[in-house]
Amino acid sequence: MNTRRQFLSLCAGIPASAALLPFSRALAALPEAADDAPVLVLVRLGGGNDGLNTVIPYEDDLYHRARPSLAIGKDRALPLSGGMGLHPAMEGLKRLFDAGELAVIQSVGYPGPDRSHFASMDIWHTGDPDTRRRRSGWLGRTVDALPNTDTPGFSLAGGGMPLAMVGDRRTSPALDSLADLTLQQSFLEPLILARRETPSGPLSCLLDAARTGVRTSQRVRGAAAATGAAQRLPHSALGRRLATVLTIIAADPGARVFYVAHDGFDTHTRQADNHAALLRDLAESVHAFRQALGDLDLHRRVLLLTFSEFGRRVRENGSQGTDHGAAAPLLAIGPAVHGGVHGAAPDLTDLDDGDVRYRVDFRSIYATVLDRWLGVDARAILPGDHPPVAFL
Amino acid sequence: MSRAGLTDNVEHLLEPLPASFRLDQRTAAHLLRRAGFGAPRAERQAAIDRGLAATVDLLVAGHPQPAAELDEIADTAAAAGIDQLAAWWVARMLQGGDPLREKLALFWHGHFATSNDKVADAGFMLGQLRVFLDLGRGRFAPLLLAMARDPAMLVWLDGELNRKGRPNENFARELFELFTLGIGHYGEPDVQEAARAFTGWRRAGGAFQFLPARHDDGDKTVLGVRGRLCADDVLELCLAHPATADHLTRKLVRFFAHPEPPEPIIRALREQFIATGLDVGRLLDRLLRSRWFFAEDVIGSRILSPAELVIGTLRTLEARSDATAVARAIAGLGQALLRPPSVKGWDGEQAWIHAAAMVARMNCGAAIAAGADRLVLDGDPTHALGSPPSDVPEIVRQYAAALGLAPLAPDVAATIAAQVADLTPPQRPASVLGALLGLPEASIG
Repeated sequence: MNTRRQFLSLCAGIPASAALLPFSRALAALPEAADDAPVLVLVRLGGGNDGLNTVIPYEDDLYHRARPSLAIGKDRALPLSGGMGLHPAMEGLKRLFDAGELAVIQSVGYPGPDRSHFASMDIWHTGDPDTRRRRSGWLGRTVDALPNTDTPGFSLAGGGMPLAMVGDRRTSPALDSLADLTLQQSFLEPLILARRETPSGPLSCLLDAARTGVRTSQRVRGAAAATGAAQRLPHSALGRRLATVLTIIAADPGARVFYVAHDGFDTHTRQADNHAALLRDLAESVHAFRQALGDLDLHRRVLLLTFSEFGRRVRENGSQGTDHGAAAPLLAIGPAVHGGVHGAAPDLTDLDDGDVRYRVDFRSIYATVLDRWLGVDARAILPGDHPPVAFL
Repeated sequence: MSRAGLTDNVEHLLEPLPASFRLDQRTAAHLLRRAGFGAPRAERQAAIDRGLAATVDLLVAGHPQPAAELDEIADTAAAAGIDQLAAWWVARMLQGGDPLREKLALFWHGHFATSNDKVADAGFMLGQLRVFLDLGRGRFAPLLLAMARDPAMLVWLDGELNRKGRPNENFARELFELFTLGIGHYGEPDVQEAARAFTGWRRAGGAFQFLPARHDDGDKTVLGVRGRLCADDVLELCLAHPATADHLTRKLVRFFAHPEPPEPIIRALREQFIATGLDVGRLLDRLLRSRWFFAEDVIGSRILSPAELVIGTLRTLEARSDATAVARAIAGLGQALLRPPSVKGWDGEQAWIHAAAMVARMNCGAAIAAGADRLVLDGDPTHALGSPPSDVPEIVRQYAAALGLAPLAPDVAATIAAQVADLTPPQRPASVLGALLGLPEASIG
């Protein structure tokens, strides 16, 4: 009972209020990994995540001296390796690290760091530090290059379309929730699905897209009931977004790229509690997401990557916070990663105007993900050649 | 019609239809949909009674102050934030006092696409919108010159970062590539040199000042012309370049008439456009009363943008709506007004359409029919469609005609009728409306 066709008929028949299937049956109901195309979930930490308090060099005296109120010591940090530890709120990610599924890539950035939110985010979004043209994003171009599915890409960024997801050919939908993919009035379904004609002119692409939309709506409704994703993840904004992502992955084998926002990291003032809450949400939601994927046997298909428009300054400011900085660590999560800490701790004796100096160009991260995970030629997406990084 | 036949016939196709041509419901709806955002029954009838020539005269002449009450609260709306400003603009489009003015403002917003996500100042965005509303129907030159000094544009394309000795090429690049000439008619050196001509702006308080000390007034060579070129000099060079007239003619004809207009039509309209000093109103005046505009392959050739679809539907239904809810619905279909995804604006047509977008369109239609989500504030959403007959297939026929969806494919009409027949009579009208608004046909204009 594992063919995709049988799954689709099962989903189409499940009303939205069906009781949660026990895991074993939900598992049996999902398609075989014949459609095992890899999925990227990119999580934006919007505002500029303080990398130094995320992946903490707790044995570095300079770190403690630069941050009298904010520094986190060996007694609290969750140890990774080599004198580095995770922020204490990130228990969920520590567990993934111990399971070999978390890769930390140190000091990721680009030459000539821009400390303006909009400008630096444009650079991360377009994949081009020399950003003379803010026209399309690296994921939008990637979605354009993926094989012929209606909608390979989805954006869950709280309204608005992030430039990263703007392509030249395809449009990726911006979703608030599954309701945006689900037909509210099911009586419209036969009106679309029963139509046999092949019209000409604009009606042709409209009817085609409507048919796909109705079928996706049915599968998504079925998958929501079958997976119970919403119940398995935290009820924070990030948790709900990852639950939506999980359901779409389960329902739609053509879904390949997700952009998910987790914002609020611009911690200029009284950083300690705010940052802890954001990181706790991140760790718990990502951990629950990974668990739920595992329960549905979908985990091998998914790579999750975090990024932020910049890190923050080494020295804390006068308001128990930190200001805009430069390079910071990226986190990559999933069975496919080579777990561990990649790269040495930031050298706090050799700063770039008070900020962490970059060692890994962010485009290398993108190129690695494109070539080694998504199977898309990086040179077609990003100008220039970028050596791969060993986290995949 | 063969290409050769078309070339010979272009003069004929672009001639105004004779006085003997009578508008009917279908052609009146087509005209009012393209030149504005559609119209309720009474306005369509008025157009029919008045005749094509007089109706186009009115559309092109417009109204000097079509939205006086809204104008009074414009600054208040902007002060309340970008969502309120978008709602203010939607309220103007819903009201329809000068349809062509509003439609052109939407066109220019897509052309000089500027997003408040970076500008972060609804007051600046209102200022830019006012330029589109005031200058959008005249010659292109005043509009372009205004855009080069517009505060929202200066923020958006880094005008304030562009200084003598440290040029920022952002505005110059998009000026050539998107706003005027188009790709292939200039080179990198033109962009670099032109960028120097646009230096000199500084933000002071809530406005921009031009500081000669920051302006690079040295020798420059742009598009083959050498001299101590200032911003207006570069803009004049762009205006005079034939590629600009071509680029704009194409965009206007695609937006108002047909997504793939025949080359001979473009050529003829472009010639006139150049001869009139790039006069947008006069181009549309000729286009909207031409034989070609009412040709069978032009009517119903476009895919409605979210703004056209939602506002057009609400106007046809003569609904009273919460403009904020309408703006939100339009954004939900992929068109966040005042926040375009990039300076390219919206590609339109098929770019609006994918599976999730169609589901969103169907959900929006269902919400309108149910009077939900504050899209229809009071009364029966079907009230403007005529009192419903008792025979269900007749309701379907009547509503389809009123919505401009007739003739429906017989199996579609039959499926709707069959589903609705099971409902009680009071439930039927809204259900028919919801079904019709959910059809892919509803997105065609």
